[in-house]
Formats: sequence, structure tokens, C-alpha cells
Amino acid sequence: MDYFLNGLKNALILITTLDEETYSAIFTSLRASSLSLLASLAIGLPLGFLLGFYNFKGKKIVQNIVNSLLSLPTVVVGLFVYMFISSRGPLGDFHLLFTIKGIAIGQFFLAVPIIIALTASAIESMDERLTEELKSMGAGSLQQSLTYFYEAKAAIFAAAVTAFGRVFAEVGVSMMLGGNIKWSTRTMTTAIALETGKGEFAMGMALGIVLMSLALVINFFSMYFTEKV
Amino acid sequence: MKTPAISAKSIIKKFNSDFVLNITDFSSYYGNITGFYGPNGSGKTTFMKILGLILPPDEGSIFIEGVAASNENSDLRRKLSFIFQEPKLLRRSVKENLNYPFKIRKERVSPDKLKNILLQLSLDPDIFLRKKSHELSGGEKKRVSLAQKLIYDPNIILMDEPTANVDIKSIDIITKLIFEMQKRNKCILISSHDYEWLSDVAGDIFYLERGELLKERFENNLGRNFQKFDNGLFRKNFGSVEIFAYSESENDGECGYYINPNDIIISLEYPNNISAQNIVEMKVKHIDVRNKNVKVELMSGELSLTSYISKKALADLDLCKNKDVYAVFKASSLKCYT
Repeated sequence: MDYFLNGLKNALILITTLDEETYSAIFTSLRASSLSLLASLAIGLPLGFLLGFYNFKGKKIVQNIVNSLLSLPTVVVGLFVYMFISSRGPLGDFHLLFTIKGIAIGQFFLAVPIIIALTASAIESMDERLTEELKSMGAGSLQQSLTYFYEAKAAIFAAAVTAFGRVFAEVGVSMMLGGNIKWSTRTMTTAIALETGKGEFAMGMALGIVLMSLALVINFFSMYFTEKV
Repeated sequence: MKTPAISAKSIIKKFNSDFVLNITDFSSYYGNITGFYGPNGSGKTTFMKILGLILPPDEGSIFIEGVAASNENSDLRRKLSFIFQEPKLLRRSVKENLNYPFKIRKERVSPDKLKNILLQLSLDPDIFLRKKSHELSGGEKKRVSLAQKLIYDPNIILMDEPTANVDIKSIDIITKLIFEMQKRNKCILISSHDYEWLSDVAGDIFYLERGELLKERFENNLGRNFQKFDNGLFRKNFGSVEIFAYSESENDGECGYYINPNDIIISLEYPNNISAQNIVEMKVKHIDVRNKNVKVELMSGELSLTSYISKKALADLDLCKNKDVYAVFKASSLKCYT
């Protein structure tokens, strides 16, 4: 028990004294996750809208593929992106491997199926009469689409929170594409894995506390926002 | 020649092998209230949606003020307004819902206009502007939807079953508003299965049956071929029964005539010393006690008529099937359709 309490005590010290190494991992995680989330929203929202709004041949197949990608193993994504961005890969010249951008690219592939699937589901579940109502008032296609997004904002926000949770908490992509380089690409999750392996529980626990606190804050914010709208 | 506000030419819409909407020619003008009446599944809503440029027809065209309109033309669509049977408001406040049509037109709306439209529909702006749409009752939703569709002053207003699932107070408010719109020279098209209400409101009523628009098959349609008689009267024989219609226009001999079921009085005895020109001895064929009133179908040889009476009148007259009665109505109660 002492062993656990000591770890917790040291973790709180690291957090309250603004330990540089701990905060470097926190900010690296936030930067990589935010970048990947922004990119996946930019690509995933329009694709999710198209998938949810329109009926086309093969829609069910596309939906099944997107849904299957929701449980994509992080190490598999890490492996494929590694092959593309390593010096021998087609994107090797951009020197993305072992950078935050490299981690963000990998995390993008984890987040984008979540955004597409949940946006499509949110749009699909909206009342079909809404389209007729909007048309009847003279709304053009773009105005109709924007209104749909606005009406589904709570569900889309939930999709963004879920995607952020997925990339913020993953280890495989960050480890393989970031390389866990101290002060540079070490994220909270890779740091926890490393410190635990070294028997340094204090920093691992400190980062674990921050990780869980952030998840709680995001979820409370999400609940508040959903109720508000 | 006056250009119709809205017209439909050679419209065909197929849904499956059983149902085809087939409308050869239809027009309605500014200042007119046109009704569509017919049973469920007759194609009323489908035709209204095609007229409202919401549903594209498989064949044929819709013309707005003589200009061919497509479903993709938002500018032409903005001349129209469609009030749905079950309105779907945006999940926002009533104020934001009323603002929406202006937002898509990139226009601003004055707070007074918002308040006035709600007052017109007997909704207190101080209470309702802030309310969220999901906090409204069914009747309130319908009235807010009406406000949302009328606030931008459309020229052509299409209403699908405006009296369905609403309370009597809301029906009165909606009816007043319809006449108000007519005074402002709007073209109003209404579909309803409530013939009694529709015949009070609409000047022209079309009957839809299995996708076809039948102008001459609504209740109490006495048809054409009325012969000019005397002093503005026109006469038509139904077997041994003579029916008189009155019109100040010489040309009205060419039109068909119908009578609102509310305008037919039922009497147990022959009424003497009465100004009504039409007193017809008939038999009660069928009695249908409804929520608001009683529908009595009467028969005399080739002539059949429907009268709406109150439940009290049914009890007072002690009506039953095959009872002999007199149907009494004025010649001027017969209305002309072209």
C-alpha cells in the first residue's frame, strides 16, 4: 500500500510543481491529438454528411467498412503509416517520422472513421421532414447542409469528443511514429508505458491522473453542452 | 388574359405500379382559395408537394406566374410557402425559427414583425419568442410553423391538412388567417379531408381520387346543364325533382353547381310561406354521427344530397334511416364552378 501511496504523493508533487518533463508530455499529447482531431473533422464531417444524407448504391457496404474501421488496431495503423513516412516510404522526403506531425497523421486514421460513422448516424437519424421544411422555405443545398449540421451539433460534438478520447489515450501510433523521444515526441501514454517499465511509478501515475482528469473534464463539458442544446 | 399564380401541366408521378398521380391541367390565381379534397392515399399531399416544388414530378411542369419552375430553383421557391400537416420546427427557440427564412435570404427582420406575426396567431410574443420548439404543444407548433412560413410574405401559400390534429381554437385562428391572406391577394391552396371546413373556406374545390383530379366529384355536386329560367334563376331536373340555382351572371348557365352541406336545412313537414326556392321531398339514406356534427345523406330518385346538422337537431327531429323529410335550401346557396 505504501508503494502505491508514495507513487501518488510523488505524482501530485510533479503536477503541482509544474515538472517540465511531465508537462512536456502533456503538451505533446495535446498538440498531436488536437492536430489529428482538426484534420479528421475537416475530412470526416463532409464525408459523414454525404454518407448519412444521401442514399446510393452500395451505401450499406460503405457503412460496414467505416464501422469496421472503428476498431482499427493502433499498431496496424502505426505500421502502415510508418511504411509511408519512413525515409524509404513514398512520403519519406517530408521527414515526418518521429515528429508530432507524424503522430498526428497516424492518429488521423484512428479518428476519421469515428467522425464519419457518428456524423453519418447523426444525420441519418434526423427527421426526413426537415429537408422538405428547409426546401419549402427556399433554402439552397448549401444552406440545407449547414442547417443539418447545426441541428445535429450535439451529436457531432459527441463524435468529436469520442474521437479525441480515442487518439488522446492511444499508445501504439504514438510509440511507433513518434519514437517516444524525450522533450520532443514523448506523449503521456508513451511516457506512462516507459516509466512503468523502468519502475518509476510516480511520473506514470502523475500522467495517468492528468489523463483521467482531462477525460473527465471533456466528458462533463460534453454533457453540459449536449444538455444545453 | 390573366396569368395564373401557379399552374401544373401534364403532371405524372409514379410511386409503384398501383399508384400514379396524373394531373393534366390545373391553375390557380391570386386572390383564390383552392381546396383539394379526397380520401387518404388519393394523392392530395403528393400533388401539393409537386406544386410546392418540394417533390419533382416524373413528367410535366409547374409554372409560377407563367415561368416554368424546377425544384432546384430556390429563387422561385421563395415565392411559395408550404405548411406541412406535421410541421418540423428547428431545434431552436421560436425567435430563431421565425428568423430562419430571413437568414437564408440574407435579410434582417424587425422585432416588431416577429411580434406582430405571433399576435396574429394569438401567441403572446413575450412568452413564445423565447420558448424552445420542443416545449410547444401540437397546436402551438402548427401556429408557429404558420408564422414561420408567412412571415416572409410569400405570394403562394400551400397548406397540407391545416386543421388536422389541432384544437378548435387553433382551427378558428387558422381560418381567420387564411381569409386575411386572401384579402391580401395571395393564392392559397389547401388540401384537407374535412370537407365541411374546406367548403366554408375554399372558393374552388377539387376532388382527388386515385391520383386523378376530378373537379366534379365532390359532395352535393349537382353538375352542369342548368337551363336559364327566369329572373336570374337557372333550373335543372333530376327525374321529377326540379332544382333552382340563382345567379346574377348570364354566363353562369355554363357552370356546374354545388351546395355546401351546411346550407341544407332538414324539415319534417313541408315548410309553407318560406322564401327558399328548393323544397325537395327526400328519404334519409344514411346517418353518420361525427365528433362535431351529424352527416345525413338524403335521397330522392336520381338526386342525392348531404346535409350537416347538429347532434341536437338529430335528437329533436328524431331522424332515422328511411324517414321522409324535406330538404330546404335557397337557390342562391348553390355555388357555381367552372
